[in-house]
Amino acid sequence: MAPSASKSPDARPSLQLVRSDGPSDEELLRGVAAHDSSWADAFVRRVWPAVVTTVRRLMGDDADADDISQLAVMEALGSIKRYRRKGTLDGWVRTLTAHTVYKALRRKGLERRLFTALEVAEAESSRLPGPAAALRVRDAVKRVVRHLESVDVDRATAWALHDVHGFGLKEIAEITHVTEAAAQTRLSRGRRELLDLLNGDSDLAELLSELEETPS
Amino acid sequence: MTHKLPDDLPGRLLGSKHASARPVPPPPDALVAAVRARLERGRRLRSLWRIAGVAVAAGVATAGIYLGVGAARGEHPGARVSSASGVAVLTPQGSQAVAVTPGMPVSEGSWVVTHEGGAARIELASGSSLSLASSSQLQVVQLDAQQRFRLSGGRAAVHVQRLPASQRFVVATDDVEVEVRGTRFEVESTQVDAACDVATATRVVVLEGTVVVRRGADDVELVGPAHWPDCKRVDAVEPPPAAEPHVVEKVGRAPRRAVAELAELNARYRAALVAKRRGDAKSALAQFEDFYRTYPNSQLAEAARVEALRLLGRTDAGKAAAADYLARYPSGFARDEARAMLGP
Repeated sequence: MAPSASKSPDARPSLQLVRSDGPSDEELLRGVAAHDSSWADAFVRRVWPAVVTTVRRLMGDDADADDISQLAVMEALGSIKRYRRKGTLDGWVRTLTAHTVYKALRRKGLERRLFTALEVAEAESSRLPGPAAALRVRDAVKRVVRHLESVDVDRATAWALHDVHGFGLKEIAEITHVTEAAAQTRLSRGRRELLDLLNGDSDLAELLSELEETPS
Repeated sequence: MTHKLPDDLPGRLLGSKHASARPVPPPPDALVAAVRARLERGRRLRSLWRIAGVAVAAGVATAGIYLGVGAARGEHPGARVSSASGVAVLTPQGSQAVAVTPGMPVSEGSWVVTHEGGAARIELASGSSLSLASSSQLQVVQLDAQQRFRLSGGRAAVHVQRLPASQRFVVATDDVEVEVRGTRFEVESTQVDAACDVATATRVVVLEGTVVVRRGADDVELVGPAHWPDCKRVDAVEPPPAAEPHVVEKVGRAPRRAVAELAELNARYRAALVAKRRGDAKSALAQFEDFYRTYPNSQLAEAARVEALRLLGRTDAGKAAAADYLARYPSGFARDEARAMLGP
């Protein structure tokens, strides 16, 4: 008899451990470290989603995004021996990809492109009550980004990587190729500079305060 | 009424507009092929190192035999990327573009494109090489007894090993063909310049050896050091008669004297680049600035200015250099960089 589609009222969703059909990360890393070319396809498919989403987050629809994604995969391949298994493979790939993006933009003095893909955070936009509030918050975000552009680029970059994109200090240090202490200094000064600018813009500060007080 | 904003508010408010769960496209096949090629190359290198570990001399000999037999069987491609920097892309014929990395095979019909600030060097099985400068596009047309390339934009420095009589090496641009036997030369596909004696978008600089430039019915032989065409905009002091390069025109035109100082101009620019590459920023900056002051109207002046302002970075002097660059080259190739240096 086919199982009934209806669920009892107290049925709870549950998580099940499902065995993946693909190779484990350990097997994959061993194969790649042994220069076994039969792992090429599995390697690219394993790291590609983390690379693409990171490049998209940081660069948006920039014309160079595809090229940089591919460059990041090749960088990951070349640096795989430096992956120490202290964090997840995805986390390591994301940091390395962010470093590739940062390096490519910095070489051209275009790090500020890291801010052009910023807009209202998804979580923030989903809690806004109605289209009018959404428009106001979008306007507020544009003004925040405008202020961000007048903050020192290294500090603004550290701030965006940490407070917006969620990278840790150690990762920011690796991405921007500075010490962790320098990354910490840049972050705290960048945050302070930005807040000073926002607090100095009374209309915007008021708008942000109102949004802050809007119930979820 | 206003009050102080919480520290984390701006960060919570902002996100990436592209962070949503848009489907990730499958990776390009060419990327998988590039990763496979890199792994194979790594495996070969590792094998060679193992052999070398047993006995260095025997290892070197074995590597020679291995590579020789491989090439004779056609296992090795006719060309491969020997070095790359910045953003450079390879598009094999009928396939998707892939980021260029050292060791990547380059087959007939492939396009190699370098973006701004990128560079790539292609080495042929014959030992000849083509170094593609920033913002250039090169197609590998043929790789057998005839080695043919098409430069549709940008600049390539070419080093050709002496060829047997049965072989040809040709680099074509939109309006000329440059054929060589064994030489070092540079070819650039740029814009037609009224200051030049020939209305062509191509520039050829022969550093040594002999090159034939074919344009319609004209057939010009250049014996290095020499350049073609003769552009009055090139800043150069009149060369002493003894140093005058030998330029022979085969068909249709009167003999012309090439400007020997162009080789010196190239050499000085190259010396500045070498200083930059070895990390001697101070010396490189001094040389680029000196070059710009000495040859303000040369074809390399803009590039020297850009190199200098990159080395100066966001200092006051760098900003002044960026402002000067934008004033002189409002549509210059590095205008975005210069504007970024000046800030919003």
